Amino acid sequence: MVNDGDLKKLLQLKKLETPGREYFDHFVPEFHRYQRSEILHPSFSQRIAEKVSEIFAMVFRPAPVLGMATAAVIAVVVAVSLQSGSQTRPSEFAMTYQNTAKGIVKGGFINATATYSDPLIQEPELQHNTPATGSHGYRNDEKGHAPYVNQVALQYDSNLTF
Amino acid sequence: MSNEPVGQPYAEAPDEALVARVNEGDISAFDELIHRYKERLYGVVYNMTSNHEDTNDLLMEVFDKAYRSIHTFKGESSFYTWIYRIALNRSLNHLGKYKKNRNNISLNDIDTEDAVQKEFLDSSVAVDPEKQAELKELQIKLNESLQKLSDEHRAVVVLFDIEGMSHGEIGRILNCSEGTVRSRLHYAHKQLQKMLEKYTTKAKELW
Repeated sequence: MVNDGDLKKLLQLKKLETPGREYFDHFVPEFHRYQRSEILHPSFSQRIAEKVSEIFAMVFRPAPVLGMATAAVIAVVVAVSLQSGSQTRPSEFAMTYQNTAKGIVKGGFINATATYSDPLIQEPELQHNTPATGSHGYRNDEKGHAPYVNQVALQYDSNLTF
Repeated sequence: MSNEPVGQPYAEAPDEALVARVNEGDISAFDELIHRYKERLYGVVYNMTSNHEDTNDLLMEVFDKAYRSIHTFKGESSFYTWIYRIALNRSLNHLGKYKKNRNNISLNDIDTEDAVQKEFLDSSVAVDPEKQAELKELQIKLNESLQKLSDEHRAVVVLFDIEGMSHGEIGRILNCSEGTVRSRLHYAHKQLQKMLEKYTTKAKELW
């Protein structure tokens, strides 16, 4: 039987089975070429692996995705509700614009869209620039709610002359 | 973080410093790592597969894998252990794919004429065509015998007898205990001794 020493010597022969110096001298540039080709033409297995990892990322990490989706939905709902709360109908907006443009006086402006039920009786009031007025240009009520805009009042307002 | 300026040769830099440079985007640091390990890893992969063409492809894949995943190297083991592990795993995966054909691997691919360094052998062998033919036959038989071992046993033989690693280093690379390494080595030696028995005399004539 081959003893350990002989076997060791035999196996040492394996150490000499190298492709030669030239191969190793060109190995690094060859490796760079290999990397470039891998980037440009990924193998089938790499493409599969990428797809699988994408799928896994979607399936096994739903929390951040759901969280983002929920946040987006909440943001939209809040934005819509805020906008609807402060939104004026087109005709109202037109009136407001018209009246405020006309009604600017020293120290304040005439709010031509009074909330009175019988505008013919009530005089338009002189409104100073106070925080009680909402962004819509109408004076809010005591609770800060936007006023109901009476169409009759609008007609009255539009007939105002300054 | 290494303080070496980019572009300088890294011949003196430890592996870990080069890894840090690579993680900072310095590709030339990785080239230095390739330069350090290409020959040794070639030996490991080649002695696992006994095929130069496969070894070339696998070695490219090993370095590519190392480059892509170098950010995962945390320094818990040495870079040397880490990259050897990649090389061995890649070789084992490759062998696993072709397990059915493993015993039919063509050993004619081995370029033994270039492989054997003349100075290693007796000068008479280098000039004697008959002895060269015997040497070639011996190498083929040696490769065949190695290929007949299981992957685990071949790995310990390659790392211990050919690469000259210690039992501890092999254990770290293969992720097993030193005792396991010794046991596998003992078994593998016994197997090889049995398989190569009739070639001993020829081998003794050659060295």
